[in-house]
Amino acid sequence: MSLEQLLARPDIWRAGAQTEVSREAVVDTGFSALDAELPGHGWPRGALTELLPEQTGIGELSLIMPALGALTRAGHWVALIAPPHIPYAPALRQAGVDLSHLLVLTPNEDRDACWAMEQCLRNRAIGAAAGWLTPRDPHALRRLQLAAEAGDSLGFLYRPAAVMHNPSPAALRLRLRGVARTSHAPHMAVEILKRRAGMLHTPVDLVPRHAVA
Amino acid sequence: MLWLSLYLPHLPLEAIARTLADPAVPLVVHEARGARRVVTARNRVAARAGIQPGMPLATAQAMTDGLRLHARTPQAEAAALQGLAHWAGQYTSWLSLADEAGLNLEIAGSLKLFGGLESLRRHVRQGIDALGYRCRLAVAPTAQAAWMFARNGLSPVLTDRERLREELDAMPVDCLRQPEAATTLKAMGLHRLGDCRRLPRSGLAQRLGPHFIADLDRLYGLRQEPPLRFVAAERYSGHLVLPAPIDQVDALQFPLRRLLMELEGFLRGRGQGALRLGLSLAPEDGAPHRVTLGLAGPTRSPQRLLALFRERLAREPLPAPVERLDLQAIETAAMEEHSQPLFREDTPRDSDIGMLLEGLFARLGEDVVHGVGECADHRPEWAWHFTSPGTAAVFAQDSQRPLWLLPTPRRLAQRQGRPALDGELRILDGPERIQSGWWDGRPVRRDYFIACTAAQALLWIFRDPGPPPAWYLHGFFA
Repeated sequence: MSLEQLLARPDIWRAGAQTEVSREAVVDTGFSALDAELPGHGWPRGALTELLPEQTGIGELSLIMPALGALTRAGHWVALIAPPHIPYAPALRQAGVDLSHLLVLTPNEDRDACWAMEQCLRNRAIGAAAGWLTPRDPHALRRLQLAAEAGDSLGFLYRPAAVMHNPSPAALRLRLRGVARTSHAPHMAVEILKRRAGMLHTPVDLVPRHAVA
Repeated sequence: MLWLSLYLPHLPLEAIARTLADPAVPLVVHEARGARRVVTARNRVAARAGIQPGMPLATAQAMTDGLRLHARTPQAEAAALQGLAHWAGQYTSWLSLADEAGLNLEIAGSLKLFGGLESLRRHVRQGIDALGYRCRLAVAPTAQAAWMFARNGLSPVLTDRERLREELDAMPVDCLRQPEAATTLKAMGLHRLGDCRRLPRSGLAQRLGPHFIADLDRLYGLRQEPPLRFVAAERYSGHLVLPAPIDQVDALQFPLRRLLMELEGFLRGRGQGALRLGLSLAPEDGAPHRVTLGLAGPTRSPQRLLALFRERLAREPLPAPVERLDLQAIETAAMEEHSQPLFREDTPRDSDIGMLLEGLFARLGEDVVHGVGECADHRPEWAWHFTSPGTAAVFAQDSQRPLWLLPTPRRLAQRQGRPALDGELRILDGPERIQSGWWDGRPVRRDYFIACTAAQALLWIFRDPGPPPAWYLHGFFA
């Protein structure tokens, strides 16, 4: 493997190299404050993004909805793998998802879920796959990252925030927290734990789209 | 007309041994002859050990250690031939089972489709080989002549009457396999078919009967009497009995592949592909283990189907060693014809969502792979449903809805009549009155609110007016 190839790998980042990621290699997050902080200004394609919410209901799924909606409307398929609750069709549609391009997989075992996510990420018809997995095998994350590379797809992996101190091959790791604001709607603080362009110490403050104005 | 006959000289052996992946085990098939059992056929390993057909079984056993013995099974041979006839449906709609261990195919109409006679013969030969048989192929303008040549171990390719007559004339009278007639003919000084043909017919008929003349005329094509058509089943159904029970999924692939190749020929002959296949794996006694394979689109490629069955079978261990495989095409659909059938269709492409779905169905099962759609129902828990992927109905409804719905609402604690979850909840929006369902006995009358927890999570909750009034959590604005 040449140095260029090595450096082009999404799991290897070079400090301060933020501007090198091209626009084609990302999908808009739909949140300009977040785009501004991400290499290439969007969710990285062909890479795994880890999302570590501190609890349920803080807008953790809304965070990726603009991207998922845009992908489905452009004819790409999006897969949700082992979601912890029912992905509610009326809300998905409201969030802009073309339901005819949505796949929901509900395997019983985590082993099957990891396998299914890998298959989805590898398939070129899939634009993005989001999984709620608890992989025990340390190589599972690595395989997901490689599958996303092979399929040039967006991989979103939701895991509890408790794993934030464990090493991960993901290209991007975000910690998500609910924050109180004086205004009516709660905000979500997005803390970038890892990105290809080095650390960012100030959390990005977002109002996920669904939130009540 | 042009006929291609194929004769399977080793069918008694192959009907049993073609399901065995390991050719290194010496194996004989035996049958009763009078009071003792003799060797009918043996595989190559047994032949190298010196075992010959016709040898008493006891002698053969004394010659080789670890010799596997199988009694000849006419049923297995008949089933194998039946399967072969189904497979051969891809070459012609007019084929017949020969009197023994063979098939006759009328191929005049298929030559162009298969790129000429040479290419067709090669295709047949490769197919037969992949199915686990060895065969003799002969081509002639009459079915009877083609079969006679193949049955006698000859493989001529004769496409016109002139050549046929020449070749037939040169054949010894024994080739007809009518020993009595041959003896009579030889006594008359007639040693070749040509000698018989040149005699006055009335004299020959007197000595050998009218049947003999008729047989001769059919060979030469002077009397047109094509053989009876084989009537294929409506749907493919094939089985294999395994000589030795198999308890490993991996080991099942070898025999399964044979069945899938038969299926491919059958479906290609009809311009179809499989949408749903059923495989039944039966133990020696007890209930068979049944699996179903759903395909996203019509498919008949054995490689593809085998890979999917492998995934499907890997889901659970085999409950018992398998002794018999039954493969059935439960549902099929028309499949685009390629003018050149030698071209392998449906090679997997990464970009195909159908390929992904097939793989997921096979490994995870159909109750795990879904799409979601909306229903025209105001009650939140009835306003969605799982669909098959790619077919999602939408029902425009524009009130704020949470991305996560709980399958059943969870009762919330109350503090002075106000809902609580990890502390008191702050109501941000509502109420939205949802009242519906009186017609199906599951009436709903609820006031929905959007509430915020102390930890800034957004919840979808409702108040049931009761009595007594109660609060429930129904979803998360994730």
